[in-house]
Amino acid sequence: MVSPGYATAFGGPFTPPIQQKLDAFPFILGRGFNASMAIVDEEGKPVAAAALKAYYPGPPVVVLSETTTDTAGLVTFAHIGSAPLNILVHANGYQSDEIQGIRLNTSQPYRWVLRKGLILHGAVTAAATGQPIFGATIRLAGLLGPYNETYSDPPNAPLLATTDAHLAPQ
Amino acid sequence: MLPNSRYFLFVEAPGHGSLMLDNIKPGQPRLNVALGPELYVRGKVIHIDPSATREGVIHLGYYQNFQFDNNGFATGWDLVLTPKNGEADFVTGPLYPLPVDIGVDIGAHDHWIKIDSKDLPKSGAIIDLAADPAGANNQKQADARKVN
Repeated sequence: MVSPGYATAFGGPFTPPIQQKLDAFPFILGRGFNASMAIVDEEGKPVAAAALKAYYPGPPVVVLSETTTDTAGLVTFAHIGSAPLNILVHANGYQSDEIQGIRLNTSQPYRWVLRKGLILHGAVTAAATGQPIFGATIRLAGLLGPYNETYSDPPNAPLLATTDAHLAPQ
Repeated sequence: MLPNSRYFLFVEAPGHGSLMLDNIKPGQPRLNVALGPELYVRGKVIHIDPSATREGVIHLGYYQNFQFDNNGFATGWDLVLTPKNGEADFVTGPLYPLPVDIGVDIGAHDHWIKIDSKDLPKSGAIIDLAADPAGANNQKQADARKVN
């Protein structure tokens, strides 16, 4: 059960007759608690503007918060419930990461160290002339690995890079 | 980019053909991509009965299937055509160098053609709404699309 200002609570699983059991089930909502995370790089420097998504994996999946770190690399989640959370992080220049089943606590910020992203260099040229193409876009169609993603609409797929007008040295 | 991952990338540039690159791995040598010309299919829908139009137009769809490993998906587009004297010209694209399905759904009948990637770009494609040689087959394809 989700209600603004309260911690998400889960009940069940229920077996039929579900409605009758739901009517008799006492959902008692609490305020939950607040907890912070500190997102840093491998040198311990804060990573600002990292995008985090905290969610209960459920079922059903319930998103607690989607937010970004401040200039100190800090983010606070409010009204956290008792169920364990999954948290995803995406930050420009760093490897995306996910923590599963974490139970945050209020005593101190959870410190999350991000690793630098790997860089792939390349060039886009016109086949007919061999000349570099300025403004070519490279977008993510899919990713297979620890995390799997697919995007079916090229114009709206995540933009990874845009070419400049120069061919980098081979 | 993430280690231990394989990337599939769309590469596009205005005025050039598009590509989907597969199995790109972080740490691999420099990636050089050469884009060819833009790919279009130009053609005509013929024998459009006025009763087949809605508010004077028909909708032509075209889609391409992308596949990597066991993951497949289709990207589709829709064109609104205004028939004149029972015909309507169309231009689909720019396309990826993959097969493209182009067609019109009218009532219970679909009229679709498939253009192989080796035939791109193509001019003179015809979708004949009066013909029903593959009507049953087209209907099966339409049903399959609806199921999917």
